[in-house]
Amino acid sequence: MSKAYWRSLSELEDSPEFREKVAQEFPLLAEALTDPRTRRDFLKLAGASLGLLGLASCRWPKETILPFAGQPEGRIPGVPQYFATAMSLFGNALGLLVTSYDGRPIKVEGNPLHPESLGATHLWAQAAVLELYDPDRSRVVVERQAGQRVVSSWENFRQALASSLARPQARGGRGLWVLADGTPSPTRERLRQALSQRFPQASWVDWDPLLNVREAEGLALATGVRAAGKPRLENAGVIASFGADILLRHPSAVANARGFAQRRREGKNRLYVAEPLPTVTGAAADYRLAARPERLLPLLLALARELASSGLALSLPLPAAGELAPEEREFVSRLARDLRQAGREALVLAGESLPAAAHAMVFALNRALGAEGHTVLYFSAPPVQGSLAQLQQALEAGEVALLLILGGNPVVTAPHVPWSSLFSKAEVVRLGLFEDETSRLSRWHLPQAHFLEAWGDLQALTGEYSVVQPLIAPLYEGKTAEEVLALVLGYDSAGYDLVRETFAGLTGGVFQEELWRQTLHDGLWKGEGASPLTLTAKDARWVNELGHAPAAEGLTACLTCDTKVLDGRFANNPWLQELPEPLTKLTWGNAALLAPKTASQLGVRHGELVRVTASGKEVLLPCFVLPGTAENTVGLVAGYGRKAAGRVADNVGVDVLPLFGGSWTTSVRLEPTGKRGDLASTQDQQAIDRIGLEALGHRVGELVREVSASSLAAGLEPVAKGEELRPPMPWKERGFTGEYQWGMVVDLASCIGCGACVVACQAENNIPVVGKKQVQKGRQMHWIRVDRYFAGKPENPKFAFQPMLCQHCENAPCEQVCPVAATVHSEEGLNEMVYNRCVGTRYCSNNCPYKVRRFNFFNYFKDVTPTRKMQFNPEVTVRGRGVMEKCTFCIQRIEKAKIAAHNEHRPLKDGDVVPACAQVCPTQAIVFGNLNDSSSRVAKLFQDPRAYGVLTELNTRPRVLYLAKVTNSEEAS
Amino acid sequence: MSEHGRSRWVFPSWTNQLRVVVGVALVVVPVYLVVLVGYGASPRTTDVGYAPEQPVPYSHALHVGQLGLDCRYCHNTVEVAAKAAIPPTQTCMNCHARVRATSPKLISVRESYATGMPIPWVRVHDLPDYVYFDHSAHVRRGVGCVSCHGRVDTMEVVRQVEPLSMGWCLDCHRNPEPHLRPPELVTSMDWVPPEKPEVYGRRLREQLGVRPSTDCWTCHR
Repeated sequence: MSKAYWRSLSELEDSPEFREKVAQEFPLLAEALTDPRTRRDFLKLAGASLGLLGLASCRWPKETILPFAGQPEGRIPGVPQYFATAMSLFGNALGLLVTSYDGRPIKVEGNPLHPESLGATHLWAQAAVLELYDPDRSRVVVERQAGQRVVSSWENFRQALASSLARPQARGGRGLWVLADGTPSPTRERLRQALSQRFPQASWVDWDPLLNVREAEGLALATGVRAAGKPRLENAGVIASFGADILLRHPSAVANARGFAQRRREGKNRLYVAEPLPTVTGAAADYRLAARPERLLPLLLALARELASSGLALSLPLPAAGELAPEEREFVSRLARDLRQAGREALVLAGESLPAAAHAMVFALNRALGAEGHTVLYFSAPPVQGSLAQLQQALEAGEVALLLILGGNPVVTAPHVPWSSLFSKAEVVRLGLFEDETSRLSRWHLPQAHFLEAWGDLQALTGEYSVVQPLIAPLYEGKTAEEVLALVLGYDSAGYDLVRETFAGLTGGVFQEELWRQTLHDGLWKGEGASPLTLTAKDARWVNELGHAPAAEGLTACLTCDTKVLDGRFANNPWLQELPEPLTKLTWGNAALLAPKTASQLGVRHGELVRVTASGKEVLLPCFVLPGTAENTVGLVAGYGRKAAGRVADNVGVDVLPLFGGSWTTSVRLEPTGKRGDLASTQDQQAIDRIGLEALGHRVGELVREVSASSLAAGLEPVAKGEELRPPMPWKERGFTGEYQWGMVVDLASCIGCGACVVACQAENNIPVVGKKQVQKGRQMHWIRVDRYFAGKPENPKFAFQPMLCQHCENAPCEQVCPVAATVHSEEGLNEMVYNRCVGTRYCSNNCPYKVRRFNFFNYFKDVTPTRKMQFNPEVTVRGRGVMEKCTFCIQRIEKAKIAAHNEHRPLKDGDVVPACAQVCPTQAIVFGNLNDSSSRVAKLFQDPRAYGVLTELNTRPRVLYLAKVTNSEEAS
Repeated sequence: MSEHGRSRWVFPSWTNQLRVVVGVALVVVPVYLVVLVGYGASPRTTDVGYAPEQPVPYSHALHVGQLGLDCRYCHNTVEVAAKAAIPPTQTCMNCHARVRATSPKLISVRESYATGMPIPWVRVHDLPDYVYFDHSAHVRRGVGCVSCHGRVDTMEVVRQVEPLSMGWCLDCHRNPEPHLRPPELVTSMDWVPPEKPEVYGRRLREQLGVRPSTDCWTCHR
């Protein structure tokens, strides 16, 4: 049943470094006193605190209360309001519900009515609120002339625009180019059409590195229609993914994760993943093949041939797949058998790095298997116009007079285009949130309004229309892309009017105020609803393209966008920089990912600085030996090494994109330098120490447990044996008198390790960001962390994720050692942390077996900017220096729900209290509630046979139980 | 036993000076503790009697005591929100657009109404920022305004009458009965219980389900 789980290669080897890390919970403490700069700071602070003694005799400061002169209707000071809006990412819309506190947006949640959200969000939506308040956002219109940066104004720009439009205008728009970022906005589409009517010769290019353009092209090859697939994982029994990260980096990732987890909990799906670099999707797989990027296409072809030979009506002239390695053959034949058995419950998916023909193949397979309409629906793909190559050609030929760049950051994300020389041949106007690399090469930079502060609209892939509703007036002079387009068209309308006009057009020509208000309230308008497309297969000439797979020789670099900052667009967001990457647990930077075997062949050590060379370009970056990476493959992560992103992101990590020249893979050379790289990985930090337990000689359980789907179907024996959860207490047990007894269950079968809970917790609880140096010392402050474990052989390991947070032990070890009673137990079973009592001994953290307590080594909010302050949750104390903190089960939400229920003289219902981590979770892996109420979900799950506690043999009696992971491979059964 | 070994058990000579230190400490420490506790609990520290001058000479004695305005006419969010909001200028102007419309005392009210700029009222009852007090939770359970704010209906200038210290809060959280009244009468300033407060309060407590918590996270988080 159980596997030996390990956290990193150094733990597997039980290296001295790892032992040291486990022994030293807060490493390098002495360093602070020897580092001259830190010591000076300390003396300065000591001096300042002496000075404060003198002030102590003064009176309290006089505080004023500033009520409204005329209060807006429905607004109660200090009572949060919620507004529906939407966010665009991966070319799809995600419906959101944003909390506004006294007029300031402070927290983002998912909109339960929106089909892509279902109440949850991804981590980027969580971090969006910090982006709004980013002090590095551009605030003014800037003109650059002959290298001089001049602060200008919208009025100046308007005049300049009129004169630079004059020439294209006279020639029917020839010379006017627009480069947009592929946001699926109906208003933008309407304005684009208006633009092409006004300027018939003008050209429009959509470009966003996150758009899965190849899928649309593939479907166009196969059917003649540019379409996009919408997976329905809630219906899928056997899923095969060829390099598609469907659970995290996908237009429907949140909905996918929900559907996947629903079936996984019942053991009713099986996931096959072939991928070069481990992703969270691969980590959730039952069968995972670490395949070099070039092998994905032959594998897909071999699968098709295998299915055809087993009698599946493919009727395609399939080319030969070539020779397969034994493990590839086994993977394919097992997958083919399972897919045939699953029939319409089967689903095949391909990643964005695969060529269009592969996507056409995937369509053909899904259709032949009967999956179309059941596990995958096709909708028309978000409109994408033109290509970067066309724009490049036109720029080179000097045919571009005026180039309007709306969002995006092509200078960073498409470095294969020689922008700096091309931009000098045209007048470039750039609208962006930041005055970044692209803006610095442009003539004009215009500040863009953030989606949380401006009107706009979005259309989901499945057709639902959402209004992007501002939560606050624009902080700076920003305008949206649509407003700038309107300027070009000479409308000069505000975004609000533009969106209302679009809405009127969509809803039948006449503006319906009632319907508009309903749409704003609900966050979406279904309309007639886009019905799935009925596609007809065209001729199959594309099949021949499948046979031309490049030979896999030498070392291949495989490009992937980061799971946190994506293509670098979120690079200046410190929450995302400090979030440990799901698989590597890396923060603040990227690395070259190598398989253990490849690393030893190349003579590279983990953490060593390596030189990667491709076609005359080279980059230096640290190497990360990641089990599960395909052999002879270097994983290079895009999104880092920004030069003009802001104070957070500048020079964090290394920009690897120049190596690739616009493709997904490239042949590279890699050589060690012998120098040590600068990595900040949390993978061995805050490790739950099992070494000591082994010495005790009675390890009752394992940290991560798993059960097989077949044993689940056959009726499972309880995973926690006998008295394991509540061992006999040597003294009298403490009873709890509270009306509510809080408890939490974390389902390891559902958790995909995406990290959305970590960011949500950070946003809700005012958790500071500490920076790379502090992370390297193990001082990150996250109240919830997602532990990642490997099991099995390092070449092809299994993965497991375990969210770890304060377990609110009924018999809490931390409470027993606090000399000042700063951590005590409440009558409702909560382990309370009282900041004002805490004197910072850190005994509690030493004694915590789960390693979930965090210490404020510094006053991390000392230099906080006024805009950043606006994000703070006023319901939670902003902690100062020298105190411990940890998960509170979102006590502010508990108290709020209790007061609201008691005010209405009703008991609290199950589901009234939802902590931030549980609310955001795309897979609903976290369930919280009242254990005293036997009908509550959490009380029922506490009785689930899969329920077990972590380290219960220490008699901690945790109030957090875990549900064993469910695996569905044949070996496990 | 050797000479060296014996000297291990004899106090070194520098400990003689400790007698002086301990002697001084014996005198100073009790004095210090008495001063510290006395200072910390004194009304000067807890601000009892604090009655700052307000930007508008608003008299609760006139409006509540004589005219009989209910507290909730102005502090209308007290039953639904944590904060008993200070009213917007609009609330003043509901009456003062007609009543005393030209009074010089109301200049800053009219100014605020005209310009939309808030009146900078001075906070009288100021809890520390780490205290998350909720008015609605108390008022809905029958804790009268007068219990914490005193006889506001007799105050020309509002002043703080209770220490608002943690000990004072806990006194009531541990024994709420003498401070309970029917929730519909919370704003009454001169209400007296019809029978012995403890007995009457116990009955109310059962009726209203008042179970005040003394857990830290009830107020601090």
